[in-house]
Amino acid sequence: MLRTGLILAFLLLSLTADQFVLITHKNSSINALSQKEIQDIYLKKRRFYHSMKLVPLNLPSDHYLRQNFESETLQMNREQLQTYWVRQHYLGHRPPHMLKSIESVLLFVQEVEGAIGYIPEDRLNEHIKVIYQVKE
Amino acid sequence: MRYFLPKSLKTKLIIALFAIGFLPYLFIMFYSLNLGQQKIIESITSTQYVQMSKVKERVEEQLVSLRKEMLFLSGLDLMNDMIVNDIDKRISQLLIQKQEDLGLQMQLFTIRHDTKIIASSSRQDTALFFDQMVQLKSAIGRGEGYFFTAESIVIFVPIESDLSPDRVLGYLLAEYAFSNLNRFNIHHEGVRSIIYHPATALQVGTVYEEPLHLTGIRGDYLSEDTMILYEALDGMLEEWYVVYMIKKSIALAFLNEFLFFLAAMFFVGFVVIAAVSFWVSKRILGPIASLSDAAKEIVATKNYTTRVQIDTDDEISELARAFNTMVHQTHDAFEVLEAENHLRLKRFIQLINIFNRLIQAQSEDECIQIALDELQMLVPEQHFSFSTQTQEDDTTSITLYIKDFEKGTQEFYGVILLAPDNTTDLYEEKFYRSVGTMIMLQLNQIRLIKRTEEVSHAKSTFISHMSHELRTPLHAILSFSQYLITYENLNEDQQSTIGNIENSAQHLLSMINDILDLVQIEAGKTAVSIDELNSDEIETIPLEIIAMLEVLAEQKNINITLQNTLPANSKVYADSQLLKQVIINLLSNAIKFTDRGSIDFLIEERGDHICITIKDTGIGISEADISSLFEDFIQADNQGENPQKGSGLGLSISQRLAHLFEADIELSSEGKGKGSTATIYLKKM
Repeated sequence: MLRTGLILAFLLLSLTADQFVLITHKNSSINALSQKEIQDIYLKKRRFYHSMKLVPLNLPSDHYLRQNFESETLQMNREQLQTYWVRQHYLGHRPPHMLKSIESVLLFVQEVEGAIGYIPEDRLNEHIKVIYQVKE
Repeated sequence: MRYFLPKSLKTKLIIALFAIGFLPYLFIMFYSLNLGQQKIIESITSTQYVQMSKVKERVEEQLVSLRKEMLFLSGLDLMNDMIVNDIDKRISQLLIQKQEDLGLQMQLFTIRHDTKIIASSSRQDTALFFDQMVQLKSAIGRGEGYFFTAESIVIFVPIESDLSPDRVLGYLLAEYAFSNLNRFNIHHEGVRSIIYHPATALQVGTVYEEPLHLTGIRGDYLSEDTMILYEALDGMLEEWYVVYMIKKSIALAFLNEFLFFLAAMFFVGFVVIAAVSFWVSKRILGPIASLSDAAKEIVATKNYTTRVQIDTDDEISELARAFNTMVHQTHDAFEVLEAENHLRLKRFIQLINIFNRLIQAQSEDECIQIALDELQMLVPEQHFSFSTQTQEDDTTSITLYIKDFEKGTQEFYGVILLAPDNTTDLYEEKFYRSVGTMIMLQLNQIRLIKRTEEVSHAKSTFISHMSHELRTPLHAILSFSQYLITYENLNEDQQSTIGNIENSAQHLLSMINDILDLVQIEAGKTAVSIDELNSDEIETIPLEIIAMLEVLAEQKNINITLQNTLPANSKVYADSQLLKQVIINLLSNAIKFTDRGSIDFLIEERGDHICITIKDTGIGISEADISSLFEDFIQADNQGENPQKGSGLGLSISQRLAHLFEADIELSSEGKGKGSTATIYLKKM
């Protein structure tokens, strides 16, 4: 019983930890983005939102949130992405800026207006605003 | 100039060798000392300038590459972490890594606009604030990407974010310590360098104590013992200089060594040239010296048999051989000359002998005969003969002329004939002519003497005959007139006339007697018998004469004295009769020309002579007249006022008589009216 409860708790916990939200600058004109829009932004197909330059932020490639984000939101595996960015590289496009930690993503989003990043849901604070949330 | 040149060939040669040997040395030394130093300094300078340019480039390169590195770093995506205050320490790690890679004394850091240091290569700086924002801003204002602090240059580049392009995130700064520049310095022995900033007097490297004087972008100068070269840096450190300091002793070491080498070579050269010149002078000039010595010896000793011995086989031995030949020929020539000279002298003596013999000839025939004999002896190969016939061909004969003294013309006398087949040259002909002249002279002389003797003899004969013839009637006149004087019946007038006749006849007689004496002396008919007279006899003669003539003196009231100072043993040669006559003449003259006073005899010894002096106080003789008194028929001029009788032959006869027995008479007077002195010089035994 206890054992079962522990496993459940862990599962729950891990479920909640795996959940992420996309955030942007508090004063940004963006209020909500569709999954398609997020895909375009992160694949650098869309660069501006109205006149504002968009700055998508990535976490390091081995970060679990990034893996989740890529598979769930971008819906591309690592191999596809790599192939995509190699091709884009020759066209002069670079993958989204990579930050090392969730803290720095938070800080970056706070500082830069057009920045868009993903963070665990539980790290939300009042300086940012959520523009996309993964639906259960 | 030539007075300073040496006379000796040896010295000249040595000087020439030394000049050839040492002029290049001296030139090189002069060059080295004056230009060489400059050249070496120039060469060092240019080498060091190249070094300095390299240093300069490397300094600049380092700073430029540092700046490039920084530009590269600032352009990295990573720099976007500035936005998040490098919360992941990714920039810091990068800067630390980079600083380690560069290995410089330097600090890399990034600042934000609000001067907060975001990331730094030294951890402790993080979260501090950058305190030199003012300098940074002014550097930006100047458009420069750097500024200086006390010990470093701060290079900065802006960090621009591609994520927010219009926004500079902050600055990447590198605080580059000046001490880094020390690695570009060199530290060799004698050469070292510093990097120097004149404005702050900051020196990077081992501090150089003395003040530096740097002007322009590059230059060099010499301090007391150091050569200073400097060049301004470019770029960020444009007010800085790289300064090279080279110790003179090291810089000029090569020159000094070279000079030492030259001096050593100079010494070696000196020794070598001295040896060579010694050898040359011995080898070349030795023979010349011996040649010269031989010549000097020949000149000094007149020994023309001297020879020079030269063993070498060069020009000098040729000269010696020629010299020997010349000396040999000179010797021969001298011998020939001497022989000829002998011959000539012999001929000359023979000629003089001929003349001597000719002069002795007494007659014309003898003269001709002697001439023929002597000529024959002198020139045996000729044949000489005499002819009184005129010859047609003059060249083979000596024509003789003789002078006719009455007509004053030359008459042909005869010809000395030479053998016609023997040709004669010009000099021989002249010789024969001169012999001919000599013969003619002698012939003339013989004829003249003969003639003169004849004339003189005729004169004497005439005079003595005349005198004898005159004396007979005179004696008659005298005896008749003397007889008439004694005749009583004559009046006074008649008496005086007869007296005059007697006087005149007496005068004429004495004159004729005198003339006869003179003629007799001249004709050599006076008998002379020279005897030895002693002191007493010398005194006796005057005394006898004084006694004889005292009567005349007493008539005129004249006192006669005699003084004899002769030593008892004095002896003279004289004819006592003739001496007596001479003294009579002189004393009667003295009485004749003395009116009052005295007559003093003095007999004395004077050197080689015994002198009998007769001194009177009479009328005297003027100096001009003395010399003519001994001539025939001459009386002194003063007789106009008080004419004295006499033929004027007295003194003349006395002198001639005295000469017969080798005595002499001298007359002297202190002037007219002061008396006169007659001295008889008798020859002492």
